[in-house]
Amino acid sequence: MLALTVDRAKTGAFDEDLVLVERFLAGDISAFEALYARYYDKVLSIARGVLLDGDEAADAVQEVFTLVYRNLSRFDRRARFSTWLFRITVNRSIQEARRNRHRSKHVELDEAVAQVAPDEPEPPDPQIEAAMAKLAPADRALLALFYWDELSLGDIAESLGCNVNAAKTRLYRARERFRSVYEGSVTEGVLL
Amino acid sequence: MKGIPPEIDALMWSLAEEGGPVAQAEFEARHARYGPELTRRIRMVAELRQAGKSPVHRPTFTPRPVKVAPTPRWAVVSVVGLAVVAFGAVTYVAVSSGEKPKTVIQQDPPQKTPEPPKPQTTYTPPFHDPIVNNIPPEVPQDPPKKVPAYMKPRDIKIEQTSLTTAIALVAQGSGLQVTVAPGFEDRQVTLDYRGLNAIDTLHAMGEQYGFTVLQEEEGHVLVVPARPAQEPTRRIGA
Repeated sequence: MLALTVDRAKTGAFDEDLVLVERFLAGDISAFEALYARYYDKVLSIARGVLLDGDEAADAVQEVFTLVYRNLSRFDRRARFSTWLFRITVNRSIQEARRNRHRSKHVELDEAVAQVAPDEPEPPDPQIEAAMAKLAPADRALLALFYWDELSLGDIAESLGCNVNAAKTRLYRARERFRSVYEGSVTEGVLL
Repeated sequence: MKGIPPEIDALMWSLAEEGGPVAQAEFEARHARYGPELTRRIRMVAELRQAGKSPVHRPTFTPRPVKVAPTPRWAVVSVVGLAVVAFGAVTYVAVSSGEKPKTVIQQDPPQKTPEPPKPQTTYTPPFHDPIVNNIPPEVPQDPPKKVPAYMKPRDIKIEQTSLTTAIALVAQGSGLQVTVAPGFEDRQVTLDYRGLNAIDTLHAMGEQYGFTVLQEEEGHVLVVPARPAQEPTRRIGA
């Protein structure tokens, strides 16, 4: 009974997204704005998890939605719009993270300090941030999808383009790597 | 964590991610040994989840202009590398085949090879033959003469020119229209006829160089190559 309810809920969400997609493709711009409003937080969450920088993540989100805006006609209706969107987000964010990894090495210390805005909110937990930073972008994407966007394993698998078992294995390994790094940093913090 | 049975490990992750305080207490009552580990995991998962919650300001969406990605460095390096390899291969093939490099030596401007002597004719009348040069004949302005020009005797001297050109020159100026039949064999000739009109001159040339002049109509002749005597096309009997 519960599974049936969940399936209906999923189908309902799917249909609603699809209606918006069709409306947008028919020329209704407000339909895209509705999709943007609906998924902005989740897309930003994924991008922030991978890129670990609020500004870069916001920038990546605009890139992602621009891609979707221009290529929505290519959307394959066999997948759900949300997982298609998340897949684009993951790929784009990982691509951006790899590019930034090389670029960030050349940022001078003064420049980095100057970039910190005084009114920017403090990061939630420096140890979490530090541990995430030590992971590969693909691992960060998995953790963000699971813990931040709270997607099911099925949705994660669809977003990553793999099957559920593969997604489960990859998530398990990413979590173990995170735990290893996190507990190491916690221990260091206690010792210091 | 090493030493934790897989089922306990999976159970602890489930409790850390979805369990509540009651489930945690039950687990610790059963597996007191793993209590601290479960507490660490619960804390880690909670902090990890908390890190994902941050105030979100959603800007208005405006599609960005399409970016043209710059050519990656590896692609440039690959292209240059391939070009170097291709150049090396071509050089190797050229050297190993023993082909000498071409050298360009500047020389004086080449001297023109002496052209064959132009045919010397005793006349150069401005006449256009439609067969020879495909120019429509001019309408003669002079009143027509009784004796056509091609019947008047003339002296013709032509040296080292092609037979067809010589025929055209004979016809030229005499008002005679000459049609050369296909299959005519051309060659170098030298002519010197005196006191002959154009038609007689052509007949004399035919005897000398092996062609026949056939008079089609007034002022028009057909030049055909001389044919050997025809052999019987069919043989009857043994």
